[in-house]
Amino acid sequence: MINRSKACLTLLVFVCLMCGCWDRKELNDQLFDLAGGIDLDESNGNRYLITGQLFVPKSGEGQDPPRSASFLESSRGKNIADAIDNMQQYLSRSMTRGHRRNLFIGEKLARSGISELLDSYTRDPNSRLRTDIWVVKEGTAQDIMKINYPLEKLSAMAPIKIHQAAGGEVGTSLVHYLMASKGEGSSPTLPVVKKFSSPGLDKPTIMFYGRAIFNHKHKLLGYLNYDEAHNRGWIMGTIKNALITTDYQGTVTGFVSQPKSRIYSAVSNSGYVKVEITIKGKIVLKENNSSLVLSEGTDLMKLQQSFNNEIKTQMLNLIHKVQKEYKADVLGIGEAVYRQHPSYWKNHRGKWDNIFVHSEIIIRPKLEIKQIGQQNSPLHVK
Amino acid sequence: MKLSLNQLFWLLTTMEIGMTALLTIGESFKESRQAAWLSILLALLSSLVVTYISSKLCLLFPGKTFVDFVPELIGKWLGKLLSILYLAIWYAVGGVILREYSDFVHMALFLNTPIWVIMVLMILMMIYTVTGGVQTLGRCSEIIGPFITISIVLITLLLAKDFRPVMLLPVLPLQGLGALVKGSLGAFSFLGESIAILMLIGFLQPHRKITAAATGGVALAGILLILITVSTCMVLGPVLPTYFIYPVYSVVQYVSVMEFIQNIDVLAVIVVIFSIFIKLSLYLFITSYGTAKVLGITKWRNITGASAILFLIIALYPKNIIESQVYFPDFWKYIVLPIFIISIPLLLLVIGMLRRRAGKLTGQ
Repeated sequence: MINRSKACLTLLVFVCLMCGCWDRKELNDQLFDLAGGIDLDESNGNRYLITGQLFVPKSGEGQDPPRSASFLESSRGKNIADAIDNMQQYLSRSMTRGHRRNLFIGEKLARSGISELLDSYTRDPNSRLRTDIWVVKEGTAQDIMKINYPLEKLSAMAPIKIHQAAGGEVGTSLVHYLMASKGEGSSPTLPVVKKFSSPGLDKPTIMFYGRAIFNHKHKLLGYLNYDEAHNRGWIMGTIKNALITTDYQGTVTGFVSQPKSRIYSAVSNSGYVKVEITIKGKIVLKENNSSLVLSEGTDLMKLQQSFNNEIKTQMLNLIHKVQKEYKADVLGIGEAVYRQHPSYWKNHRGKWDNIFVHSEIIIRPKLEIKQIGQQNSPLHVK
Repeated sequence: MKLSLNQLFWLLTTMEIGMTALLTIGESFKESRQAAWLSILLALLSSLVVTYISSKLCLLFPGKTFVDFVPELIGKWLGKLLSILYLAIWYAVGGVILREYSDFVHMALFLNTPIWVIMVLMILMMIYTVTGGVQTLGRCSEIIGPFITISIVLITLLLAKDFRPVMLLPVLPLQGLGALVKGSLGAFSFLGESIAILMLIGFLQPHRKITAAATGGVALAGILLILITVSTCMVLGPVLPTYFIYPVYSVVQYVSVMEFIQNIDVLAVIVVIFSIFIKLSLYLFITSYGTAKVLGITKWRNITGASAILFLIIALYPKNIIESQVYFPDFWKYIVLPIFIISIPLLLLVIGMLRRRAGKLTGQ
């Protein structure tokens, strides 16, 4: 009998513990922040204007008229935590950051530096490391968040899906940014979106623009456009496929699967660095407007050569841009030198920015046409 | 009260892995960057030596624990003094681990809960387990140990698609071999806590495989630790782990398989809680048992409660996370490690072997 009452008492104690102590949070009291936007707003001693895309939970089925799945809310503050606290003054539920996948940063803020605001995202244990951060070119974060994107229930999901559809990596931009900014010689980058009017339709939509380059002080230097960013991804090994168009007696477009690259570096004691980047990929033809008869091996080889020349030109343009215009190593070349020549790197890491600008980079393209689609020659070839 | 070989093995694996993974990997990354796993390997090898020494020392006195055989070995008063010193260290480390555990759980799960509540709940669990005797502890770890091992392997597999092996190059750190040694000290000092077997081996039936079981347990913990280090490095790179206080927790937060298996950091928290539960219970057991022996109390279970309260007081003492996670580990690394983990057991072993050769030892 005594044993039984002891057992009951123990169970009762456990019941008290079940409710989760002081940190009980009902699902009904939580507000899920799906995407955030941050802009520079220096009024009244504030610095940031934050905007949240907040999830509206559905209460049961058969609800009409259907409510929109999310709504926007914004607030100002001295830093991010302060701004969220200010927003809480007019939110009936407490903000939960664990589900956010997107963060938009206005161009003005990106130019003035983003190191402070990143701290808020990496320090808070509830905030996810797997977040995509976007710079909004020629606009504010609110510009993008206000757009109602028809395909996705939550329009802030659109950039992620566009990026994914374009063959890019998803969810890694925060970690890659942190790794590059803490890593060897690299300058960090972030993906870019832009508000855009589709030609002839005159309606605003979200466009995935390319990549933003930051300097070591976390200030925006400039942009790489879509193709340049894609080619950078090719060198860095972060893209899954690519499209390439060349002009050889008419335009020809090929789909590149398994894009790969390899960086070889050679160093001299004077500090001079020579880099060779091999670009590899397997091409399947998508469109052929040239007069080439592709069933003939020689013509196919000429076309392959043309593709190789095209990618070489594109890559050299990209390299010229990052080397001479932005003077920022966003191609992972410093990392490669560090891995291949650790002892050289030990003595020269401090001067890398300068060395990178003056290093010689050559491209060795090795694209191969594997398939030509289900047709030999185009219609206009007799 | 008897412990089986299997139980000893899992007890050591379980108690070693949690805290070491949580707190020492960041330091290894700080010193030796992409070669952090080599530092951990070095720590593992050194702690195997330490475990071997302690185990051999115990085996000179079958069926006896540290506090029993030390007075026999080096004289009554000196032995008592040494026993008290070791007990003091075990009390201190137990208390601080309780604090470090509470800080972590507080950060990861319960931000609003007063920290003493987290501690008291753990202490109640510990008392319940320890009063069941060393065998209960052994059985617990026989279940928890494999669970932890499987969880760590599972998390590694889930992370595998984000691995970038190139991050592990170059193999040696730029700072040279000195950095490797420096980076291994933290992990060594934590893995070296295996000297707790000084109080445990006495509970085993004399068997020639005891040393193998003890070193095997430490080795498994070390191998899991290397696995964690390598995968952290391949996902976050060699520098980012130094940026986070709990790099392992951060990397688990990063898991995302097909946008479907996500936010599994709770699994990591459970692994850590389980491991620390075993470690703390072990410390509570050896301190209460040892204190009772030293004070000449026959029923050691009577003072378990008092020992637990001492743990709680020590745990509440550090003012902030820097005192518990920086100052104390430094003390552990620079004072306890060289003196109490390496030198004294080695010295005692040498004395024991010499006296045995001289035929003066009656322990057999």
